[in-house]
Amino acid sequence: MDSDITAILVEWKRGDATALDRLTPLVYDELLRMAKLRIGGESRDVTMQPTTLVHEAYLKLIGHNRLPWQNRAHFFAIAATVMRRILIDDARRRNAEKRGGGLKITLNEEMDAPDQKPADVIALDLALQSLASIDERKSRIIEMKYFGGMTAVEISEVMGVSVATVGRELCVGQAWLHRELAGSDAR
Amino acid sequence: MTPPRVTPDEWRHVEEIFLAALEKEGDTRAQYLDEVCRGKPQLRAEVESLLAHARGGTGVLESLVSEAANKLPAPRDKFIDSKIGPYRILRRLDEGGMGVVYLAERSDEHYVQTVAIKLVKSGMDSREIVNRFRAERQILANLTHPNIAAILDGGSTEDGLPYIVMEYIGGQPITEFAGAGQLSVRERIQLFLPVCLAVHYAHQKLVIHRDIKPGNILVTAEGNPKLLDFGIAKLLADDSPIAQGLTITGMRAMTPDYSSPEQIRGESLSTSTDVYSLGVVLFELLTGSHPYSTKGLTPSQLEHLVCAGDRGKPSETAGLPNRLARELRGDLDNIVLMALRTESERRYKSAEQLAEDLTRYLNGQPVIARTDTPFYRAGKFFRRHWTGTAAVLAILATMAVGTIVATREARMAQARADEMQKLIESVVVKTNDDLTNLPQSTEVRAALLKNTIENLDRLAKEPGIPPKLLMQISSAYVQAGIVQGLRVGTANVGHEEEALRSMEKAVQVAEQAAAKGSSDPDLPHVRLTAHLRLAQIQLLLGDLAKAQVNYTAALNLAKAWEAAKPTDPLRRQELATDFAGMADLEIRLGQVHESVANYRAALGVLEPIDAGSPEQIRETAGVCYRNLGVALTDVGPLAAALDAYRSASKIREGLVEQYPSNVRYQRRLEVTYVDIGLVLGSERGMGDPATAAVYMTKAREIAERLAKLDSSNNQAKEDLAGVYENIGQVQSGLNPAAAVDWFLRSVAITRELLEISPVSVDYRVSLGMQEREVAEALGRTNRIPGALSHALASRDGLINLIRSQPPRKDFSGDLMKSYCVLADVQHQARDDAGASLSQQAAMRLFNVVEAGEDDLESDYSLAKCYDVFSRIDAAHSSEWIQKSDERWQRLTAAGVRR
Repeated sequence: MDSDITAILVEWKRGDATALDRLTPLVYDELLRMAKLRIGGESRDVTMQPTTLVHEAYLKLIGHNRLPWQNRAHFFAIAATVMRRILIDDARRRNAEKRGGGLKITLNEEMDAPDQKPADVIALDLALQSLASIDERKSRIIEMKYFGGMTAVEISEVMGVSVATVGRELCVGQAWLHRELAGSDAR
Repeated sequence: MTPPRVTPDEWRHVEEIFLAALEKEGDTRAQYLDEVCRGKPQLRAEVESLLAHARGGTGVLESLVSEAANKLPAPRDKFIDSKIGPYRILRRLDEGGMGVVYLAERSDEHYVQTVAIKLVKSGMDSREIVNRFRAERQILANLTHPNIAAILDGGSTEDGLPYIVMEYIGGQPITEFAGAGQLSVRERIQLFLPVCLAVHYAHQKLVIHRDIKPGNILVTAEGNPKLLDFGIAKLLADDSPIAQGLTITGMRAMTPDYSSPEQIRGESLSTSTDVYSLGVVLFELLTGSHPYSTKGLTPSQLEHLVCAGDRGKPSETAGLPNRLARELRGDLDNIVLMALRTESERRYKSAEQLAEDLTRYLNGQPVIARTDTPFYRAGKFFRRHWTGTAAVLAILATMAVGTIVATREARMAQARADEMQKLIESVVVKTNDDLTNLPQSTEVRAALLKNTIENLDRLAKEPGIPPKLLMQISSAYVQAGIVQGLRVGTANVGHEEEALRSMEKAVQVAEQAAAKGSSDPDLPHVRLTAHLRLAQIQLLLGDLAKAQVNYTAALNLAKAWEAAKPTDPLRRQELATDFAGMADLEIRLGQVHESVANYRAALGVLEPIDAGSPEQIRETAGVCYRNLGVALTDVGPLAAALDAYRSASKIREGLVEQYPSNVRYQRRLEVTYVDIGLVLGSERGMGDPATAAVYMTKAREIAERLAKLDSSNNQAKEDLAGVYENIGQVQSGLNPAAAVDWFLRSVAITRELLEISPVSVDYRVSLGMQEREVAEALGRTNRIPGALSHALASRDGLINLIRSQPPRKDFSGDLMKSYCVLADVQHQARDDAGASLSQQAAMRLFNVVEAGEDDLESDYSLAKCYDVFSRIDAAHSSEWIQKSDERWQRLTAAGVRR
């Protein structure tokens, strides 16, 4: 495993931009494995940040291969996408079955609060997809920030834009998402 | 596919304007928008709605993500096998408050080195902890002593998590070593001396250990004691730059058995703390027992014991052999007790002094330690009169370090205790009042809630709270949880999680009260309420396993409680609610038959019901009847379902009549009318469309009224769309032309709702179903082009939805039905190729539906499909008919009219 990564990194340093994509399955495996090792018996007071996982995955996979921070940024960008996928897959798995078809009125009337279930990460994911259909770049930047824990500088490196641009994209994108989520919330 | 709101060009424009407008405020902004959006009201609306959400901040989004992350499942496992620096992690050795210790190995060509690596625990990299670790590394690098575990290396991982590499000591705790070797008193003292000197050495380097215990004093095979884990070392000299980063209070991750009184009281520490802990270890080393037991003590008892209690002499420990007792009596007693003095200034001034006194003892010279004199014992008298609460107050209101002037402090402490009692009462009572009369503003409400919860949390941590108060706290948590779970205002993201936490605390506190053996008559009710509410939230959040645990607990408590006084209507009500709660859960688990039994059990407890019964009972009964009806609709017989619905509607009509302004009751009545209408008149019904129509009209009247009442209420709109759709379903068999109109009306409303929330899965599913129904009805009236376009829209809508979601059984069922209708319509349009493709697509979904729930809904869907296929697939017509007949057998047996 180590030599695979080292090889990929070497190729990347040599200028093969696509080399990093081959990291993705490795990153996925590692993140998923680490995600599953999380929490469980640990103290419930500790809030786990997904970005912690990302950082740890970095340590595991790249570890002592000292990469310049720019290359690290690219790694995190990949990890962000992977992380998002892991979280969404898991959230869907967890979602309770709703009774579709025929009678649509909620069964459990005792819980008949006037409204319905809260926005969750799935809603966020869908909202991001919607955003991507209008503006791919913003969606990507937001993904990097929230799922990868990347700083504005790192994001600017990966996206090839200025830090100021990253800031503006985030501002607009976040407002858009808020609106989107608030809308689905107030059904 | 829902079209995007704006085109890419328009989007650029919106973005530009948004960003520019954001820079401006108030009038300037309004003016700017006037100019730039002149004549383009939609553009302006778009920008303004974005602006409205611009202050949203990152918190919401972050919390969504971390919420999800925290729900990732995790089997217990160890994080091993990675490399830190040149060391390979082998296994976990220990886990402390903020760090983990791993056994690691470094190997190269020439030798293998085994070390212990201490690393900040992943996920706990808060600034403070990281700083603390860094500081520790620095400190320990300065400590070089033969009896202190050496630091070999240190570093940071790529991401700034510091780690320390230490000499690995494989040895036994000092007490075990002494026991195993059956060392004499002299030998034990000799073993102990280097430990004292090592501690003193560290003190001179301004390091306090703070956690001295046998587990941290390991003796190697050669008989060398080594001190480990200067884990929570603290610097004495405050002006050192490193100390600035450390907090003084902070996490007290220590073992109470060895903690000094000042540690227990949370005061600031000095080297004297270590002397105390050394004293405890010495006590144990000499007698084989602990000076006092702290197991199972409440915090206030613990405090009392350690801070004010008398110390027994080592020689007087129970069960000591006579010879040993004789040896310990006198000087050794005094030495140990001096180290264990509760007042730090009366202990040995240093660990070195303790070592010196021990050496004097070994040499037969007089020792410094003296017996406790009456003068000092008198001083303790005042301390005994502190109540637990007062001592706790001391922690809360940072007490000054140093000598305590007994009398004055004691009086102040008493006054504060009274204050505290008043505070407790006011918070709890106030909570209940406040929460029932909440102000309207969301921010104030949120702040009030937060404040309340914080107060409750603080209260709940207090030691020695009487059960009565605990019960009140539990109820307050439930109140808070209910409010948190309500959806008021907009953007209430994540409140269910908070409600869950509140309910969990409510259960915790209630069980605490129970554990105290209280026989308070209200206790069972408080407990079962907490469990029930917790179960409800867990059910809502989909955590079925935990919900089951709590529903069961609630139900058992309710049974016992009711049995104790069956004439009490409140107890009956509770028991019924718990039966019903259990049934709700069983529905979700798919155990429909069991749920029927439990709803009936609930009703059995509530009946007889008439117009004079209390409102609560009637409401609960209404819900139970209705849910019973739904369950029976699922498994049959339909006649029984109809009965149940009728009973529900009778009760609800009564409630609406009596409380005409209650919207909730009206909505529930509407729902019941729809239920009855469907059971009677839908295609999967009993075949009485005439009566069905009557009920549907009644339902429609209510739904239209409610929708008009509050035009911004999306739930009301959704209900109305549902009613229109249901009316269409009832009309579909006999009057498909009219049905088309109803279906189209429902489609229109659903489309409106999708404008508002394009991302909503429920609306998209509904739209898919409604389009299909339009298509089917149009097909029956032979309006083929329209039927085709709606059938295609239904299919496409569902396919797009499915693509963006994980496979769900009910989606497959809906899509299958869409394909069937499409196939039928294509067949009518003479598009045999298309019909065949659609048929195959539907057949591919059979597996999923057939393997799914064994209920009338599936039977019906499949039967319909088979009927369609028997028409379009002439070659296999008889097979399809046979399959259809099989399904219809079950349906007819349950009362469905073909």
